[in-house]
Amino acid sequence: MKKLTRVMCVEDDPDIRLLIEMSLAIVGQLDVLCCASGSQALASVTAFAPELVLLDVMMPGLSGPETLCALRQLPAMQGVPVVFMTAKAMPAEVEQLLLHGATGLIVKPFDPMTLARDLQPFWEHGRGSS
Amino acid sequence: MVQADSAGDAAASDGLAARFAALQRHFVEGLPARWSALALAPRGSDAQRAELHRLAGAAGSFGYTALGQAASAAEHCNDVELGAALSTLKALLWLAIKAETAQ
Repeated sequence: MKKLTRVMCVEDDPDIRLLIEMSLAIVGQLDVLCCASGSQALASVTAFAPELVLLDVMMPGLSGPETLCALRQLPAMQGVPVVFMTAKAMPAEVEQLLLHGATGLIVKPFDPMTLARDLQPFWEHGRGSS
Repeated sequence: MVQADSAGDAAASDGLAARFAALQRHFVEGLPARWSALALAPRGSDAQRAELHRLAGAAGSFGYTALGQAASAAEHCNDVELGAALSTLKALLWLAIKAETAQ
């Protein structure tokens, strides 16, 4: 089975960003690009060509859902799975986030030792539906 | 060979634990600044709740479960309960700092 290898992470909190980077790059052995904002992600996404995007929901500037909408305008990003990451996980909010076109949701706090493994099913599901 | 692999695995695991501990220390060193941002934001404002939201997500992921839960409780409580929730959060936050500096 093919494995996920390339992930872009968009997270405004620098501590969480470092933790995600360590978790995905060192524990998960993935090729990772971390961005501090939605606009930074939009500027880098075409060159990096991620197989999956991990996207924080609440960010200053472009929010997660706004970033997702902008990413989906890019031809190369139309079939790429996007997984939201949030500390808010009320069922109505989850449904709302999925309606924005996200493939899934990872709830914070997350386990840095299993994050890379937790993303794999979203990638398989996202590829299957694209 | 098995022994060598085991030694390699152990070294990798130690390296990972050391990196995680360094990130954890860095997170705790930043807690006073996070508290300042919370304390300076108008009580119950969107800015204060956004800071609480960030702390809730970060603290739990770094292993500070009680601190994360206290931040989440403060984020979601009403304005009447907010003072008490912030006091609890402040106490847990300083406990985390004290525990880290004692190591």
